[in-house]
Order: sequence, then structure tokens, then C-alpha cells
Amino acid sequence: MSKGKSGLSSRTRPIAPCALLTAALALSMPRPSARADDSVAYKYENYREEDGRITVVTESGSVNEDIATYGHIQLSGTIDAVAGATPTGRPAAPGSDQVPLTQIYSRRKAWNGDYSEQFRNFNIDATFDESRESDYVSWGWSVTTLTDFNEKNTTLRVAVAGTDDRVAVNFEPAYLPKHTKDAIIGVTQLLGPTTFATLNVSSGLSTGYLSEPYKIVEKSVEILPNVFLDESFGGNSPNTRQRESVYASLNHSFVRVHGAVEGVYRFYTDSYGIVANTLQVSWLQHLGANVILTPSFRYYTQTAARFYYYDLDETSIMPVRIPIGTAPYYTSDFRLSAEDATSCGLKVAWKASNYLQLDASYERYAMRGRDGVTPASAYPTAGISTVGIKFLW
Amino acid sequence: MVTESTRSHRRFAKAAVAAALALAAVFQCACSTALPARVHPWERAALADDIMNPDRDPLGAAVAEHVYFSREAASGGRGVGGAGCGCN
Repeated sequence: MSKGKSGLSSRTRPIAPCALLTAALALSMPRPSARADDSVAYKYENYREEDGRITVVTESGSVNEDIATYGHIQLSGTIDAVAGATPTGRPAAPGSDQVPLTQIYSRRKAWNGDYSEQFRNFNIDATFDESRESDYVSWGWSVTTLTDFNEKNTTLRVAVAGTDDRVAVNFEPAYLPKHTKDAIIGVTQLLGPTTFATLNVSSGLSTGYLSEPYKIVEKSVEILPNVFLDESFGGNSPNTRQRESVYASLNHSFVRVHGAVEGVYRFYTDSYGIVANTLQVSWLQHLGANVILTPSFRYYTQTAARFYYYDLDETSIMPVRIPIGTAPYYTSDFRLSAEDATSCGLKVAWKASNYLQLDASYERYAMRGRDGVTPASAYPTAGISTVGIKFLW
Repeated sequence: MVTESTRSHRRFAKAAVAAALALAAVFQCACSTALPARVHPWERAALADDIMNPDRDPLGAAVAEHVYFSREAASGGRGVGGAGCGCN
């Protein structure tokens, strides 16, 4: 079933009664509908950090197809390759601001199967996911329900999901388990003929091996009286992590200028002691009948995990050789430090015909530390280029 | 022996049950009071425009989210699902 694009052409001229009736029958409220156009889509993304650091090349594809009258199936796959230099976690040498880096290479293959079924005002969607790397395997599932009521002015979202992962860790003879469970409840509400808002509340729990196996900490250890040696240890994070977030978005159409604004805010907190705020604003502008230009801005900020230490020598903590997920906890992974990130992007989408859509985008992503201790060299600045093509029928 | 992991699972189960009960209450309230329809179907031309569809590019959204997920401590909020990744 096509969602119908009659709204595009009818925006600027009087709407005929038959078109009005067609729209009334075909259109539901804008929401995360499980039904989509029958299509094949491909996306290529190049994420490139400055100064010869990490480069990630991602290729994704998906196939969407309606099954019978009310069912819909989607299959998608992703292959990405990561290569380049990344901080080890060790502090910079005395007199230097450059944190030590190490070269990494990783290749990931992931696929996803998704089936949804519409029952009058109720939609249920089930997914299964698998992701494989040489040192990490993950299986995921989710069930999402969307219920329309109040004459489709309100949509209620209820979803649960889980993952079952296996992590290869140094010094461990077997892969270590990691599990997550997540639940979300949300409402999307029409506020008028040109505005709707969404509010989601979600909670999640991660258990098992939650440290980053490739990030280390460094400690000066006294091996003989008054003889110290810098030794490296694996980080030690708690083996449980409770996460909560509130997500709010507002979409408003400015019909006269053929544009719309999308604003998103997210509050996040977890048992690591991290509090994060995210604000994203996009402007979507029609240029003629077939081109949409989307400039966007995103700001992200987080506090540090309570067990983040740039230099473990500043503490009395003595790390253990094999992390076991019990206190004392410690990590020097900069991603758990106090930091913020800004990104500015521009995307162009072109509807070449009723059967072909093309898009291209570029985003500048810059991360900075906020603790005044972790050097700027730990944080990446990157350019993200993406191109996509989609065939519809 | 009750481990910290077991306690966390129990807390999660209790939270899920509480959320389900809250949801049922909200649902019952919303249906029984029959909130007035603000927007009729024939008023939704602007809402049906592609630029008002949050899911207009799911593949693009997924690859963008993965960039943020692998470099920032916070994630999620918009939905749930998907496999884990060794990048975070």
C-alpha cells in the first residue's frame, strides 16, 4: 500500500472533493507506521575522522514488500569496515597533549528481518537481528505495537526488545555474555492540521561483560622498593547498567513556505552516573515538486561516568589483572568522560520519478572534552558523507 | 544466592509491570473519555507530506544513529530493537 503523495501536489492549490476523500481514506496520522512503500533501497556512508584516525565505510540495503492486504515484511543488511587509529585509554606522555593511539581493523556484518501486521487500529511489528564481528556476536529481537485511537489523532507505542551478545575478551578462554532488555512507552499526538508531537519514555538494563575490551588503563606499579613501572590493565566497568531516557519531538509544517521544522530533545541518565542531553533541529524545505533540502543541527552533551579517570595514577585504585565487574570500577575510555558534540549537516533528496529516489548528505561532527583534564586529542572530528538510492513499485 | 544481576533483573521486571499497569490505566482513561478529535481526516494534507514523516529515510537514520551510538554514552529514546555491536 502506498501512503499516497497527494499531499505534495495539493499543498498549494485548492483541493478537489475527490482528492480530499482520497486523502481522508489513504492517510493516517504521521507516525512511525510499520507500513512502507514496496521498495529496494541502498545506502553508502563514509565516516572519516581527521588526522588519520578512524574511517568507517558502511553499506546498507533493504527490501520492503507488502504481504497480502495487511502484512508487511522488511529485510535489511549492513556491512561495515572500521580501520584507523583510536585512543588506547593510556594518558599522554609527560609534556605532550597527544594521547597514545593504536591501529584497529574490524569488519561487521549484520542483518535484520522485520514483519508487521495491521489489525484495524492496531499494528504489531516483530524483528529479529544478528550482528557478527570476529570478536563480537549479537542476536536481537523486538516487538513493537502501535495503537491508533481518538479517531487516529493519538497513537500509543509500546515496545520491548532484547539482545543476547557474546564478547571476546583478552585473558578469557571463552566468549563472555552480555544481555540487554529495553522497554518503551510513547504517545504521538496531533496538535493541529500542521503539527504533531511525540513523547517516549524508555528504560533498559544491560548485564554481563560491559567493559570495553580494547580500552586500557595505565597504572604506575611499584615492582621493587622505589622502582615503578607503568603497567596496562583492562578497564573494569560494573556488570549492570540501568538506563532511562525521555524523548520528545515536535514536527510543524509551514505550508506557505513549503517547509517544515522537526525538533527533537532527549534526556538520558544511567546507573554509571551519566546524564546526557541531546537537541536536534532540522528544517525540511521543498525546492520545486521533487527536491527536499534538509539542513540540520545537533548538540549533544554528557557528564562523566563516576568511574572515569583520565590518569589512574591520580587515584589510590589498584587495578586487577582480569576485570571481574565488581568494585572498584575504573575506565579511561574517553567515551565515558564529560564531553559534548556538535554536528551540522545538509541533505538533498531528489524524487527523480515515481519509481526512483536519490539522496546525498554531508555532516560535520566534532566532539570536545569538558573535564579540563582529558586532552583534546582524545576526541574525534569527522566528516560523514552519505549517498542513497531507492527504487519503488 | 541472589546476585546483583538477579536483583537488577527483578527491578527491571517490576518496572516493566508498573509500566504495563500505567499504560493500561492511560489506555482505559483515553478510550473511556473519548478525547475530542482535533484534526479530521480531510485536514491532513500537510501532515501527509514527506517532510512531515519522521520515518522518511529509515536506512539513513539507522546509519546516522550508529555513528552516535558508537561514540557517545547515551543512546535510544526513539524506539527499541536492533542487534548489539562491539563498537560500544
